[in-house]
Amino acid sequence: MENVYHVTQIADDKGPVGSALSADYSIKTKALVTVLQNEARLAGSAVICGCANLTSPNSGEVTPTCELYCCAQLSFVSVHAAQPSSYSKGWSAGWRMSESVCLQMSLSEKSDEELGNLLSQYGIKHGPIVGSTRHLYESKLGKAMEQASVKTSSDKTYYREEEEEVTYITYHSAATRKRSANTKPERADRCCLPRCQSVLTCRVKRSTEQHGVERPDADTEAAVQVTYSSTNHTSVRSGEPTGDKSTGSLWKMILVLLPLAVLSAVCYYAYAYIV
Amino acid sequence: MSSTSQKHKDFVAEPMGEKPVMALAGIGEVLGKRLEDKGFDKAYVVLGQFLVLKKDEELFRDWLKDTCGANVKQQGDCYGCLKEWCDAFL
Repeated sequence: MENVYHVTQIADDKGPVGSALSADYSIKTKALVTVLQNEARLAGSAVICGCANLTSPNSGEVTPTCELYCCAQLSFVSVHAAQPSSYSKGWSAGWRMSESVCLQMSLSEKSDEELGNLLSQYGIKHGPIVGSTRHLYESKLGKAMEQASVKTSSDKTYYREEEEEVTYITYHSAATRKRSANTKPERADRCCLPRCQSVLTCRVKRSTEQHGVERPDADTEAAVQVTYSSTNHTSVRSGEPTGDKSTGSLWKMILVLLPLAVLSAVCYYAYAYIV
Repeated sequence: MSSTSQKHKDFVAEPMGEKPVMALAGIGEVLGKRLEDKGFDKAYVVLGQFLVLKKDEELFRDWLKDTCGANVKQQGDCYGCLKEWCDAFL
């Protein structure tokens, strides 16, 4: 017999991030996971694919801390909830395990009408939902829900822009390369985390305040340095070669023009001599 | 139209009657056995499924793949066969 998971939406301070079991089960962390694990064992063919480490939530926390995958027979049930840990390690461990999580209820528990509505909602054309077609529609709906959840969870645009900014700064200034190189691993860590990244970054910032304070300063310093170094280069243009790319190309131009100048001088003296 | 097999031509030439599921184009012994095990022992039962899926190609292909593990070619042959039969007799 397949078990029913009544999924309700939960939210943390940044908005809805996942779902947890309803009041049928306790929403407290350990009780929730214990119940889910028991249910998974009882389901027979259910397999626990992943389970996050749990920490006791603070009194003020709303979201339970659990991630669990249950594949029960033909229907795919996954329950995922955010992990409100004050430790970044707890967050990252939990989130890495949720990479392929699909947020959905047990589709086999839905009525034909509800399933039909969901199929229409996801734009899947369908016929009547009868015994022989039900499984097909459930699997199609499950895939559609997974794709939809992956799309909504990927905030890559945000990070792409950030990364673009970083590369922009590194291109313009050698000094900032070092700083951006330092920040890159941190950003890469954040980019690895799949869901609700905007939430996660806020939490990372909150938990590591010193870094958070430093970062904007670093950026402004970088910006300042960019302008400073550019002015520096203009004054240096006539003279010493620097490692900078723009000055190098300028120097090449000088090297090309110099022989031409010498050649023209030689021609002039030759002409003068002849004359 | 691209070349169709003799099996296809034979199937669409006449009403299917009580023909076994293996009479369908694209369905050989292995796939036929799998379909029979699932309860689709006659061609008309598969036709029924085809009609319930509203003769939609994608849905029918997915169903066939899920049910008996048909590959793309087999899916296409079976779909084409049933579609043409329906065009002629339904």
